[in-house]
Amino acid sequence: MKTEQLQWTVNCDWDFTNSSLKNAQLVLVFAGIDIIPNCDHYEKLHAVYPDAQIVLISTSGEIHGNEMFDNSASATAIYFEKTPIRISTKENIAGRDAAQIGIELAQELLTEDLKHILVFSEGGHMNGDHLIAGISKNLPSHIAVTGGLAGDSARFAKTQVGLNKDISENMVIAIGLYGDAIEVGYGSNDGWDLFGPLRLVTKSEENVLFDLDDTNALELYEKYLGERANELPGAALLFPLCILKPDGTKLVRTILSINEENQSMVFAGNVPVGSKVQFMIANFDRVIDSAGTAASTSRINENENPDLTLMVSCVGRKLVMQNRTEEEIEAVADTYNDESTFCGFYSNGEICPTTDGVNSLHNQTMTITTFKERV
Amino acid sequence: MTFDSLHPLLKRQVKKYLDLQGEIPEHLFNFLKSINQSYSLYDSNRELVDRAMKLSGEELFEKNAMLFEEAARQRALINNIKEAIRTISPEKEINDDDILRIGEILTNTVNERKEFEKQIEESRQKAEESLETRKLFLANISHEIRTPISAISGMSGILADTEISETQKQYVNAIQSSSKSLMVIVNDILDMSKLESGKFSAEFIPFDLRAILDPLYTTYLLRTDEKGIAFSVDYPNDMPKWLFGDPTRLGQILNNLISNAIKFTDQGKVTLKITFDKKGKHNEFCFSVTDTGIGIDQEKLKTIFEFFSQEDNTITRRFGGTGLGLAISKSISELLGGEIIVESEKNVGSTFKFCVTMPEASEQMKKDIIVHSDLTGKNILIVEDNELNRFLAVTILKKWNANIHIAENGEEAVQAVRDMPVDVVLMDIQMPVMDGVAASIAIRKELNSKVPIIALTANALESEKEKCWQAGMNEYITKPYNPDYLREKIIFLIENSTKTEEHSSEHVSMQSLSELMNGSKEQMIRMTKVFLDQIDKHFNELKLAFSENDLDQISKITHKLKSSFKLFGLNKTGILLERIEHRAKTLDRHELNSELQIILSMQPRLTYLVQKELNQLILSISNS
Repeated sequence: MKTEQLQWTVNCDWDFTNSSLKNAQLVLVFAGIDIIPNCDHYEKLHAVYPDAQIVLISTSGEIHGNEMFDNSASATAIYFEKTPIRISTKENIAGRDAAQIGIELAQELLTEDLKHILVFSEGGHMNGDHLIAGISKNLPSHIAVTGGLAGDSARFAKTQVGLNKDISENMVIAIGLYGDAIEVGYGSNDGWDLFGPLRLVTKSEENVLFDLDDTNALELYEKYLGERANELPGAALLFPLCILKPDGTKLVRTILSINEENQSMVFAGNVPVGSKVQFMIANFDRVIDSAGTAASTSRINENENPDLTLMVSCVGRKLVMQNRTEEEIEAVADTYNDESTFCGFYSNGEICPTTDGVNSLHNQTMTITTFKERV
Repeated sequence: MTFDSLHPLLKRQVKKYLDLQGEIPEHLFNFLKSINQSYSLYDSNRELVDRAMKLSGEELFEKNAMLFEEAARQRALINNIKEAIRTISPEKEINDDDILRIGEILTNTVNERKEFEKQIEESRQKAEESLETRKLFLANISHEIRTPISAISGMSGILADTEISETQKQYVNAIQSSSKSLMVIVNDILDMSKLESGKFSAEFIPFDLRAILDPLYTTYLLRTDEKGIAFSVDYPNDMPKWLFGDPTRLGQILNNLISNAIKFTDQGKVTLKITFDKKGKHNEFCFSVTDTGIGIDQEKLKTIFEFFSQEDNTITRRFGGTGLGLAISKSISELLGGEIIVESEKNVGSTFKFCVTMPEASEQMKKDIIVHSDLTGKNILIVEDNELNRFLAVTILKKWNANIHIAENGEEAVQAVRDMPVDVVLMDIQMPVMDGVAASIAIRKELNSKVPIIALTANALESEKEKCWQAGMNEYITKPYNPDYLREKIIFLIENSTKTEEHSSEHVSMQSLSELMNGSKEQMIRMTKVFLDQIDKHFNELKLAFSENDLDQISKITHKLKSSFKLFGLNKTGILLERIEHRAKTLDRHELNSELQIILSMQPRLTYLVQKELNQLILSISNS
């Protein structure tokens, strides 16, 4: 596998002078939502990488090398020497059953030598839980699904994903990697602290939460946020919800939006009635350390570093850590002695198997997928 | 960023370890900036954490307080129990045995409660029984009244046709209208008690809708002319003539609605408008009666369909009536599958509307009705002890050209059947010397005659009906009867006398079922209930299929039914069903229609026979 990275910023257009990977098959572009329509990124990238499928994801922050940028575009061109890839997309998905979309995506990619699936979905409305359950439904259990939901600079309104010329607020892209040459590792960790009483979800509909312990959840959040309640829904990221499942596993859920009218909160994943939940709060050091832990977990081989490291981190972490955000990227890069190509983005939801191997949607985590191609 | 703007802690540290003040040197700027940001961020985060910890501490405290309270309540409860035990045995320390005693106390309490519940249940049953008695009383009383009224009404009708003076005519008219209103009241009360006891049922026969509407028009035109208001009956010209449904009940509702409308209208008009909408094989008919009368208060609209409800008591004084008519009409319309809707405005007028679905009658059925309209040459034996009733029956039957024979009691009736050709017997039940039931038994057993016998009685009680079936009678009609209905039944019985006879002696045998269920009475009860439901459901389906001439459906239903009937020992019915199935399959329409009519006419009797067995089973279980 060969990779090269290029960057576009408001002050500095794409510079292809040192570009050498003309035969790249895949270009991952992570870009701020506002700068996508202005410039003809696809035309420019396509001119340099004519054979490549160019996949674009809007973000709440772009990871380029071991740095984090806002309102930039980060392109990582990838040339696979022995690994075939195939891309499947679903457009106009608004109002459709997310699980069914997932089933169809997986069906289009599934062959005997499928090794891994990378998923990038719009992140404004998609029920990520259902999407991933759908993708995994007919997949052999050894095939992992990783990726993330697109972001929109922490506005939680509308996101975009695109394949080549087609860019849409209404799209899911799945990339299948095939053959024995490619090796994939993954890991996910959050590092948040649990606090306060355990609460019971007493009223919810899928990912819309109404009541905890028979009292209004939005009021409870407003009470905890105090003056910062007027920064909702962004401020609710300060207190993510940890869902404790009966089997002991836990999933973290953050808030996507609030509905003042019916006093409800929309979470990035399902919050089923009857689950026990507990508030979480950030401790900076532990949050940053957790990124390093995720990186260690995703290491493929003890003594070698991956060719490519894809980081999908939660926008909630960025909002809490503010100008210390880059430290978690550095913690990941440190784990691999800076010897890998680092790319990624701040997202509305991270996709990765849980520790017991079930492909899942995560919130508030640093989620890492590493790639190594045996040549 | 200057030295002074640094975070206080960083400022102290920089001053202490770097001995720095004023401008920050360039090589330290970014380093110190980063540390400064971290310190500030910690502070703002600290605020959030402090707040969160304080609030969650409060929440936990509240929850603790609740738990503490709950624990205190539990302790108090335990103390109470201990106290109770100490009262029972003051000298004793409380130990494990006391727990047993607590159990005993609780058991006693539970038993006492059960006893109390039993008492409540008993008094509830008593209340229900008394309600049942009241209903029976109502039914009886109304029949006691009906018999003389029907005689008065019938006789005065005959009297009116004789040559009498104008003054006498006026008197007769007065008698007729009074007895009619009296009959309406009695019928209303009887209908209500039937509705309350769930014994009201709808018929399903072919009829001519215009034959109901035209007399309605004639009857009420007279009344409206007298009141000086207009009256019209509007129906579309292309309205189907022959329909399948219950003409009597339909007429009852229309009569009620129209007479109400006329009653409450002093000027303007009353209109009966019929519209129909063809929906495949079914026609939805909507009947609306509109008046320009006194109207009804919006508040009262909800309650006018309740029994004994009139708009207010002054209405009863001013307009008369029992307050039952609308409630009965509503129940009947529901029975026919419709619903009465009312729209009204005070002092402007009211519209009562109801819609029912009635299929068109098939060609064969129309023929059946049209061809046999009179009884020329038929020998009909009237068995009746009451002279007035006898005279009435004779007068009616004479109109249809029947040969009439009279018997004044059961004994004479048996003799008549033995001595001369009789096509149909109209049998009164309560008679001196020998009653109708005994006479019927004698005709069947001693004379071994299969002549159709129609019970004509003022008593509509189920127990009496049961006796009539048992005696081998073929039909049961309550007085006062609708002459056309009587004629229909007579014709039907004469036409099918041999066939119907075969089935009137049908009886249930529970032997096969008992064997199948290994004698388990609970299982037999369950199966019998299922069978009763089956009869109800499938016979209704059969009626529908019959009206739609759907041979395929008829064969399917009869196929399903036949084995159930055989299981209950109803072999004759089983065989008849088998025959109908075969005819439906081979498209043998000729015999099919009459056999279907026979089987459909047998439904009440079959239901009665099976219900009787079920009652006995239930009784035998509760006795053992």
